[in-house]
Amino acid sequence: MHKYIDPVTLAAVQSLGLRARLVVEGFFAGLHRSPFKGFSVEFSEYRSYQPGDDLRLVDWRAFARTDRYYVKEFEEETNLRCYICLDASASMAYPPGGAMSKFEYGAVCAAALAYLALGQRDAVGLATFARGLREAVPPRSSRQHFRALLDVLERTVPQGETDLYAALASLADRANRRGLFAIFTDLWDLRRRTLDGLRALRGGKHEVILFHVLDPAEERFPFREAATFVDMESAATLVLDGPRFRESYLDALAEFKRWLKLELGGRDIAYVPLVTDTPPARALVAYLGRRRAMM
Amino acid sequence: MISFLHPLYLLLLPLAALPVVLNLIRRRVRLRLPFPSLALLDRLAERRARRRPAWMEVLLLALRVAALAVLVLMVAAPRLAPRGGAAPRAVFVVVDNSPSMSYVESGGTRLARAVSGARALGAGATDDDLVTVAWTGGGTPSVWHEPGDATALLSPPPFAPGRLADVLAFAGGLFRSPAAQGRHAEVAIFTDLQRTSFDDVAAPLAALPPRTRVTIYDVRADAQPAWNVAITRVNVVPATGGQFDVTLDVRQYGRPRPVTLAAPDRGVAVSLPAAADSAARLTLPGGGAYAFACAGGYPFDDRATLTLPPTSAVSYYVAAGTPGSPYWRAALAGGGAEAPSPPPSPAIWVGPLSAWRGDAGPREFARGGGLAVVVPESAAGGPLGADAILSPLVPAAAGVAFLSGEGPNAARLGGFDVASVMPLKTDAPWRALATTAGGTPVIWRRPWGRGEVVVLAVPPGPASSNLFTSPAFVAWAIDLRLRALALAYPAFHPMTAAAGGDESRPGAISDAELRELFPGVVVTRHAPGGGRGKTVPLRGVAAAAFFALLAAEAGVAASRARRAANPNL
Repeated sequence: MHKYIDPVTLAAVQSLGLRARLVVEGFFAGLHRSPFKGFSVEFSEYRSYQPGDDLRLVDWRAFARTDRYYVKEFEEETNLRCYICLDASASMAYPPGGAMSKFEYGAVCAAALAYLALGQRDAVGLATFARGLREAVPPRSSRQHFRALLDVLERTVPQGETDLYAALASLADRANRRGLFAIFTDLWDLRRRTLDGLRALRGGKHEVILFHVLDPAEERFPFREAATFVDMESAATLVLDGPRFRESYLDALAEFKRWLKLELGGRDIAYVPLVTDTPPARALVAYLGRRRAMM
Repeated sequence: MISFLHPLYLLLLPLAALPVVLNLIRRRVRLRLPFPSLALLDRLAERRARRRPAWMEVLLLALRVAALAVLVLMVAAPRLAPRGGAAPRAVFVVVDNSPSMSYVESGGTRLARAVSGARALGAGATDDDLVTVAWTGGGTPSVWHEPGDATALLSPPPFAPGRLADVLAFAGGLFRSPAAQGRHAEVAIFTDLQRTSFDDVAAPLAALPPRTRVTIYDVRADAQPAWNVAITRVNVVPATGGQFDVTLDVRQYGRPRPVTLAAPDRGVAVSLPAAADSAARLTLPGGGAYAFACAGGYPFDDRATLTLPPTSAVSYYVAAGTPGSPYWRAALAGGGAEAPSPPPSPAIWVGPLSAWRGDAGPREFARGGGLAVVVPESAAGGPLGADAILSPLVPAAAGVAFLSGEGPNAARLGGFDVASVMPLKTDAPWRALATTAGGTPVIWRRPWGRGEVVVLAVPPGPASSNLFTSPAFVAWAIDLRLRALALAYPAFHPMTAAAGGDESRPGAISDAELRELFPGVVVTRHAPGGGRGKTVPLRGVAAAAFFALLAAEAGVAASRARRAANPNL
């Protein structure tokens, strides 16, 4: 069995479904709203008859009731094209030698989402990135595609520095149809253009969900003594007295997250903070549940 | 060159490097922690570094090191050696360890301060100096070779009365020895300036080399202790049975408290009440010395040393027989038996005028230092006359006026012209010691040679006169007896005053007396400056360093507090 298949997680998310919140387009009549209003199975709304409308769309019952002409409008269900992007830079390997690294956590979540989407006959693609795209699998909707995705996850080793903007820009170019981008990253690439990459995706009318994956040590900075901190990507070092910096670090992290939420929220990008000590199943169920409630 | 009073403390100097070591340890952390990204931490560290520049860190570290170093140096007490090649010295350090040095004042004994001062002096010596340490209360003087000798040489012997004179005599010998040749002679005396310590110092002082520098370090914390006691007077009266009645007058200064006078060597002690003036009365057997002092822990060494003759009896010759029969008889007081040979220390000749005239012996006796008492013929018949004169036990009565040292140059008593009766080749005049109520002298006295002649115009017996009813005559008779004892036993000095000092500083020798004894002496109450060296004034430096450090640490703490209140700084 692939190591990123977590039966608990899969079972947990299966029932929730992954519905695209925004309007996307797809090949099949799936569960997702289509931007094209045409003749399909799901009634959307009434509007007043305008000269030139198709008479087949007139609701005669409404005429009988109201003596006025109304035309029905329908929504076209389409399939979701889901792009799962997983940060595979060296920082995602934290903690080294720990129980579950951020990459592994993201991979489990990615596998679960892929499984969910494929179960909905949505197309799922996978991209791993560090300094630019490392590997990209185009979206497919077949069940057999799941194995290919898992193979990519399994052979990916987190290494190298992060350049989120380059990766997203490349992805945006490749995604010729609207879709949903679920990005799993620790977002330690604090350069301003990182957000530009995310904005570029939104500019292509894609739905973007940013899963901000952090380790409990990054979240709480529990270090109780002075230490030489070594950057896992650049190997730079910094000597710090842990207790003395803790408060400032936590304040800065909280401020960063607030800013992210604000910036991303303003661009309709969902921001989902995840900490790896929360079981993936619980984290995904919680998010999907909220998402479902919003639909 | 810098020397140190307590060089062993310099071993603590590496402690000054403690802040640096701690800083290095903190920096050289053993723990290397991988962290996903230093992006956020870098910004925080940069912000913190901006708040406190590196130079301030260095300054703080330097101040901490400096403060610790100065503290250690202060404890080691550095001293600067004088410039130029000064001649070597022979320094004789005298430490007074008399009982008064055990007095505790200002948290320590006087002896402790003396030892500390002597150490300071020794520490200031150079390798070329010869330093000798001696104690007034005995013990062999020690030569100071190494700074480490401070511990060995300055272990005080037990408190004991001592004589500075003896120690100074030793110093004189040392300065004349080959070891001290070519050296400047210095004497440093650490003492509490009790009068008794300075007895007989004139002679050994005069024997010190010329230009010997003498410094007296007064180790008293309080020149005028709140309480003190002095023996102001000692009175001795021969008693019967060979004993002596001794009276010691004691005066207390300050708030009186019970005191005990004791002569511990003789097993004698007497308690006195808490009174400003009191007297101790004792009856002591004759023989030997009695050193009376207040028992222990008193701020003075006042003592009354009394040497009593072996007996209170007086040996005298009684001229017996007929005029012209010059032979001597000796008799003991109260007795009457004639001894075949003269007593060992005859002091008084008692005889009639005829014996005086007929025999050159008594005159030679008096000229030689004896006391000749000429009594009327009727009184010379037996020992009664002599006994009467020499017995102190008479009741007081009126009737006879007693003159002392005053009176007519010559007198008559019923035709008795003492000047013609007893022509003496001397310029000293006759002095009348006692007269009748009418003013007629009855006792004359005249120094002759080294001795004295006393003439009684009337027999002293109660049948002939009421002399013995006169307290004044009794006192004179007692004094006569005491003088006779003093003549017979030169060690016996009838004391009427003891070393009490002046009332303002009982027991202490005055500055004037000191300067008279030690011309050019320096008397100081300050701790010695280590010989020629000067103390490095580190207290001011230490205070400045600590204040600066305090200010810097306070500034850092305030800065931290501000940052804690406003993390955006």
